[in-house]
Amino acid sequence: MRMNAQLATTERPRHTAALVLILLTGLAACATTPKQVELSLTEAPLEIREMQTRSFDDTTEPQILASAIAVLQDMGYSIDEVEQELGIISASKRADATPEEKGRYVLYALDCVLGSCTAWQLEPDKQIIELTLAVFPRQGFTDSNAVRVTIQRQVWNRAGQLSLQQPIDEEQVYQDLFTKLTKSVFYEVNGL
Amino acid sequence: MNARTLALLALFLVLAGCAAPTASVTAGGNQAELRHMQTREYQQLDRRSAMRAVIATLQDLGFVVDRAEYELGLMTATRFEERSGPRADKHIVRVTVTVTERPGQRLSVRANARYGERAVEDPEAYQDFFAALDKALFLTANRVD
Repeated sequence: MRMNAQLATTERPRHTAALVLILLTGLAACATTPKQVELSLTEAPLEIREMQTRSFDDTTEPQILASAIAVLQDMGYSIDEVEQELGIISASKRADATPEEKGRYVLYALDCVLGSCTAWQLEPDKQIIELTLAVFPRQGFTDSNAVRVTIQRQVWNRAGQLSLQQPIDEEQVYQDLFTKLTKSVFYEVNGL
Repeated sequence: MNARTLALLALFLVLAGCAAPTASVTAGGNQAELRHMQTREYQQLDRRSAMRAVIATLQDLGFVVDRAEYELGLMTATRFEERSGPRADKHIVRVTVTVTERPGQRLSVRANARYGERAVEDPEAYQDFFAALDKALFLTANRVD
């Protein structure tokens, strides 16, 4: 009590401020972001869902699954998991990732001229692409199914560092995929 | 005890609070509380429809489903995330969902998520997930398109 009284009269404001500062710094270091992870639908706009979905009429679920597996094989994917009961396929592939900027090649070439380049600098970036293809029977229809695909990738640069990690949401990718799938379904249904 | 000692003590206390747990193998929050926030029960719903709704929900939330096992009622999914800006960061969100049949035609759905190296123990995240799932279940049951 006496010490407190003393503090109050002489040095209290300064020390209290210092204490509060220390505490706040400490708390800031421990704190997690208010929302640790976003699991609400606001993050997934309707356009993305539409872009990732196609409907197929007069086609059974097993026919779509078989066509999808064939088309994934065409594109060089490994089929990791298939669960026929749920109409779902998980697939992935490792591939070269072409650098986004061509200018990087010029820089690397320059580096080699200067004599400091190493073999890995001439290696292309590597990527892993993962995707899910799920078939959903459309209620109230017979042999009508919706197919939804989600894709994501991780890219490693020449030094082996993870440089990119993202969902793929370019419309062109999904258009190409569904064009191929439509062809594949046509072959499957017509026994070609 | 003078003010400086007090300040040092406060600093140590704060640092102790930050210390990394050594028992992360079995680490976890309050078991009952966790299960409660991660679980919802549904009536008059078959396992297949429930699981398909979960898959649809996960895809809506931008996940790639790594694995789905009908017999076990188990689904695992991942989502790659990247934050740009001053706190640039890359994380993988992993979700495991189990669908279990309970007596009395009830179906229990449990979801648990990890964000990078941390377990997600934020009730709001699970509320959001189940809100999305409810919407998918409603759409499946009343799908008109």
